[in-house]
Amino acid sequence: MSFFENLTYLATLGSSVLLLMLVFARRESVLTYRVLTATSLILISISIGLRWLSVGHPPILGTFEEVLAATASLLLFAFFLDKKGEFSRLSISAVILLLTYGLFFDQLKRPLVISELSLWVDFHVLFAWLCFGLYFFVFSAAVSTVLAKKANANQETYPTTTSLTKWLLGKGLLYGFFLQTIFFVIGAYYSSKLHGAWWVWDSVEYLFVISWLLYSVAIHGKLFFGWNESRTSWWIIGAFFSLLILYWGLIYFPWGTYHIFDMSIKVHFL
Amino acid sequence: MQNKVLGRIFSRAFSLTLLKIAVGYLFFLTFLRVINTTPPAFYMLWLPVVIWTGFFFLNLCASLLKDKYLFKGNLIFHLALIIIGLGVLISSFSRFSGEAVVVEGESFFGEESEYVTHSAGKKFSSLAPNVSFKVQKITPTFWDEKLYFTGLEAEVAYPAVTLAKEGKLWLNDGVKFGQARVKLNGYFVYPELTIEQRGETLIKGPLRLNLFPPGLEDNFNLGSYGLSFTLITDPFYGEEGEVENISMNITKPVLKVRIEWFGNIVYDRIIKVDEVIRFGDKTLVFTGVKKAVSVKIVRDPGEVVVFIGFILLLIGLALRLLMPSVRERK
Repeated sequence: MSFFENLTYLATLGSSVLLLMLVFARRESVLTYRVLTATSLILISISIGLRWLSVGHPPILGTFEEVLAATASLLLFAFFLDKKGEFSRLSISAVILLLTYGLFFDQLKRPLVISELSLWVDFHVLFAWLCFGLYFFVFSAAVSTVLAKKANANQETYPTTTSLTKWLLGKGLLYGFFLQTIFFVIGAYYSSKLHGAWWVWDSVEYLFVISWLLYSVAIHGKLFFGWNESRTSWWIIGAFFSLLILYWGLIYFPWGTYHIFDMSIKVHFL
Repeated sequence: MQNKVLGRIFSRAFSLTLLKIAVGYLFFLTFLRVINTTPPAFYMLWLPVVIWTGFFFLNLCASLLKDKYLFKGNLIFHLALIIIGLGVLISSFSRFSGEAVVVEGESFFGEESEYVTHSAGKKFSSLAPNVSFKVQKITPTFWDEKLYFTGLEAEVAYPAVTLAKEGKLWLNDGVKFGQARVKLNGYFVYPELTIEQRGETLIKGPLRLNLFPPGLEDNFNLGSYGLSFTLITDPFYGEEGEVENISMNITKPVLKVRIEWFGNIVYDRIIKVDEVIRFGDKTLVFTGVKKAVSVKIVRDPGEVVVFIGFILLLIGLALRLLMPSVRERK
């Protein structure tokens, strides 16, 4: 990585750490939250932009670039969706974890391998990270709902959930599902071009189906069976953890998949 | 009792149960993969899937017929699942997928014997598409001289008899022959050899050995002789005479040959192009290397149906999100 890429990456980490410290010290205001998330978002965008310019492709190749994309997605939703920082404890912690995790991985700049040389791949990845960002905030809303219920276990009614929480557990969940379906359909179409079949039983495909079905259970339960927010939230939490383990954990599982783009070794720091 | 069971199968609650069962089964399969095992018999894998799929579509059809879909989007989304299922069914009866290896400068005529593998089994004549072409030029591009492809392209002319048209094949795109698609699937480098026995030619031309990337060893038997080869396409000669391969490019290729006769090594050295080896009453000449590509030929009438299903799936979700007030039935 170049000096400026390193600088912007570490500055994103720094501004996120500062924000989290303020959040936990209860000294943040909406304005500080907005300014610091905007700063982090701009910094990570510069880091991505510099890398993109120098390597010639968007951040889609290998875990380090996935970290860049995931961080940008989280910060994007943190700034434009979670405007008051309702879920800042979780979202900013996740940003810090991601950026720290990325430091353990190979940062070598490589051109795209031929299997990834397509705009279809770029769009597949774009929708995947948008989906991840939105699902993260749906997950955050689910966690806050479950915690609120626990805190008020002896009361008859829950504390008033915010309109953002309600939106995330309803429409937000559906939008996430929509984005997840879009990235799958694009991936399936590209798979038919690359492998000659839209479904090739790669690990990443059936792991996707698990996650898709988990979210669809939550959606069906909420929309058609009148599940309360707490029950829906537990399914959403489960679905998001499965997404984390099944996608981010892919490189640690002992199976072959064409969906790993780290060049050197499969498991990097164990 | 019968009505109760049917009522349960066709109920909305059962759709949720089916979704939960699918999640559980897929987690179970994932766990099996993590501990690196598979069910003892293959039917144990697919039978639950078939049973589940049967119940799923029964439930889905019943739901589409009897339930009140308040949103058009929901209706279209669930109809799309039926269309995808139909596409998969069509594919399972009519899909053809085959792989063949074609050397640069040679033609492929679509005969069954030319395929390395294909999915048609005994139905080859009815399922195989009419595909023929000549591979005129193969151009691989490597990053940093490593085994890291940043380009692979094959120029083809087709049909193989007239060579009237020209096209290009890539890993993720290619040429269409009616409903069939041809694309690249892999890259090989073969040594060109001439092996003669008392003036009679036994082998002449590119030998399909697995020698790429350079450094791989492959072998075959010729009578009582065992011949092993390692191809070095871009050699570097060290100070002590050792030869190493330095890139994936083909510059001045050399061939490491080891010949065994009843287990005894009778020849073991590196030869250059046009060098002759004599063993027993045979002679071997390494005449050069040839590039080759593995091509995939696919014809899948069900695929288009599946993609129509996918598009409807997205339209359904989009309608559900963007036009929530449209009511299908009250």
